[in-house]
Amino acid sequence: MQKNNVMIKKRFDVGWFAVNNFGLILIVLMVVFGSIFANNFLTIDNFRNLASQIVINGILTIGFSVVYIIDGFDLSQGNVLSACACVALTILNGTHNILWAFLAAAAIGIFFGFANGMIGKVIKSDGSDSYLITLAMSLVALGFAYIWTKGLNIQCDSEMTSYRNIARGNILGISNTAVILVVFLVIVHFVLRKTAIGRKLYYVGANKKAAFMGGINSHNYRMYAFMFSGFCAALAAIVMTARTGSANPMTGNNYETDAAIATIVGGNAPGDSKSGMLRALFGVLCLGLIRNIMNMMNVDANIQTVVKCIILLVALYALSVKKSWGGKD
Amino acid sequence: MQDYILEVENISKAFLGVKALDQVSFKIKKGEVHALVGENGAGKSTLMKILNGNYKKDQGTVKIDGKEVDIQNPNDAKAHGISIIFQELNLVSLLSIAENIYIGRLPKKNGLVDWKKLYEDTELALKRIGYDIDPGTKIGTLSVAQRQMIEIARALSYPTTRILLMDEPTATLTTKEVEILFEVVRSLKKQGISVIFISHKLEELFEICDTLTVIRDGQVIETMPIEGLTKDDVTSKMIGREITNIYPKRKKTHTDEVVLKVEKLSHKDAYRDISFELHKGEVLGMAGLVGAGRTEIARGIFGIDYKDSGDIYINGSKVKINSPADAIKYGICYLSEDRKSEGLMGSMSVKHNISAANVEKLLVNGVLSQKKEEEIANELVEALKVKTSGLEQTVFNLSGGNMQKVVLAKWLNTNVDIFIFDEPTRGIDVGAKYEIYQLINRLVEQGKSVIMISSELPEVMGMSDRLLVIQRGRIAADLEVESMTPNDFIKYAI
Repeated sequence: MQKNNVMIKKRFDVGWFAVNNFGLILIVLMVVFGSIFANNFLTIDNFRNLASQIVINGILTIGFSVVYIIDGFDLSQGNVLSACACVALTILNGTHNILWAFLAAAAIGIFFGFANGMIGKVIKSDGSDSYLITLAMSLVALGFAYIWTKGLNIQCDSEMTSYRNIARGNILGISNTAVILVVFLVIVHFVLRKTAIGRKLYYVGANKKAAFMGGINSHNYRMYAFMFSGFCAALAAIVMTARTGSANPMTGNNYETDAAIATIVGGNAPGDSKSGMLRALFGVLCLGLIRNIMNMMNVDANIQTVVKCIILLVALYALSVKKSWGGKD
Repeated sequence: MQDYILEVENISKAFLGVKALDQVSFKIKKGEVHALVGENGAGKSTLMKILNGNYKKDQGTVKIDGKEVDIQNPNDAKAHGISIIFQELNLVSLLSIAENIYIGRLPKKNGLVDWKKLYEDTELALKRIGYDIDPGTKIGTLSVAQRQMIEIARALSYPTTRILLMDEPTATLTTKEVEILFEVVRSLKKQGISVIFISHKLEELFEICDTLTVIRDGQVIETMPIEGLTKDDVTSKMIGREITNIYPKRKKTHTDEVVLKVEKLSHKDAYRDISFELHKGEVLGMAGLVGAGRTEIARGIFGIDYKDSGDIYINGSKVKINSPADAIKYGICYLSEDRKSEGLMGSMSVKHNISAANVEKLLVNGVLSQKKEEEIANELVEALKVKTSGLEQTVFNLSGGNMQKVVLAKWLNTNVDIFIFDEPTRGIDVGAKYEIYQLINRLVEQGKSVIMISSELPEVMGMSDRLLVIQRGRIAADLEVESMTPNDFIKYAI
């Protein structure tokens, strides 16, 4: 019997480490796999490339993680990104002012987030209601983008090279956009960990009712998270349009899926005080590495999608194992 | 030896190296009601789950009718005549009584459900426990007590059932419902069915049980006939030391200073014209039958639910309380009867829970200070003697009593002066109850004021200075506890 216990203990420890650091382990495996099977994987150019590839997903995942921490789910990110992108380019072309373009995109993004949160507040939503609310809002954003653009592609004015330089330039060899991502990550990490509002988001995610009974206006905090997620969609829209120079209603199509996968693969969980920007970054890196390696190995895009989803399912399994081990028995 | 229907010998069970049961042995006679008592975490529920096949034992034997049996899963247990009623009710609220009782084994005819037989069988099963209700009623429309009855009917509907395990069946029942349950248990006894009865309410055990086994820290301390024992005997065996006084004495602390005054508080469905005063340093009891509106009044004062009319005065000045945040600002806090869903962030640490109602206190130059959080949490954990492996411990892994202490620590971390306790000791074992009582005493000795809602009359009489009896949403009496008897309470409460 004594021996039996020791065995249980050992499996427990190794397994415990594995499920707790799922994202990190995946990253290490990826790097090893990439350096063996993909040519040119371990080159500075490739890592630069990787760094700029992950920026859009990275920015969206920051917002998605915050919403996920308050026990919500934001399926509207992708189409809100499209709406913001279309509006940003129209305003840019009209005013030739980057600030106005940015403010317009931010206003649209935050407005959609506010709508998500407000509906949630009115119907006193639980975590699962946000799937439906944001799904509906996603279609509203898509419709809005079609109406705004009349279904056409909007091109960035060729005079606006300063706008395009947001994506083209670099600081000490690192692309501007990657710098934006890192700075943004650090700021949000600070807010989540070191401010009262950040801490309250965790409380609301862990137990909305108990948070309310402790004097926290839970639904308002849920709304703040959705508004922030909308802002992230707007920021991603700026980076994206600066990079491609064009926008249309399908620009951000399905981007929310990748953000959701990165959030969950990174190991985030509602109300989990260890969730946050570090885990979001792990998730984003995982997804970025998978795409990077498979691109270099010329894997078909459809197969890439399947692989991504398999990894998501494994991550969900790891999460459920973790939950059951966290219980009393 | 044939008169023992169930013999448990030397059962041990460990979870991840922690011993939950250590060489447990006891015997149950045919047609006997056998009480199993012990503090929370003593191993009672684990033992039940082993007998029912939910857990596998590490070692030991189980004998039924003198023959060793191997119980691998709940179906094996049923085949050997063991049925269990768990603490948490396991009924599907959208289905009818009949479907719930025969769930997974509905009678079939030609491959289709034989509804006629199903209803007939169900009526028979209900009649067996002397319960008359339409088998087609949806579970969702029943009260907790009625559901409990359905659980019993289900357990007994297995024709082979000879041993019934009941894990705290009375925890959520009112006095009257408990009486009905006991009638059923007595009739089962006459039918030769043995019952293992777990309860924290010791008075009940004396009423219904024949034999008593005390478990402490996973070991059987003693098995003895219940006749001739007193409550204190059992309590001291459970916690391993003498308890001289169930309700700790305190100095007379209450003053004439009114800290909270409630005037004509009304809510159209729950209560009306509630007026009372709470004095500084006083414990004001609120007693009444379940459903009389005690909790609703407390929730109204704390601003959780909407109120139709009425005024609240704090220290003489009128205040408007529309949310818990308002109430906290005016120095009121409420410790819910449902600690897990309304009082705690279960998945978070002890430390984070203690900070939950006053995050602003942790700010140093506008930034959350980890160091300050740990200092505060450490101090409170120490002061309240919370048993935890550390500040990082997840609160859902604590026992009921320690969870309650964490909730209290959370409120002590704010500046509140008025504490509303709703069923502060529900689901908490005797030793921890005593500590909670001591903490309440300490609060009033420090000049705080307490409103204590409780369904246990001895508790609320033992602790309070004054007692409000609530009957159907209004205050039926305002009694001085020193000069009252339980009969006074019954007179006003019903």
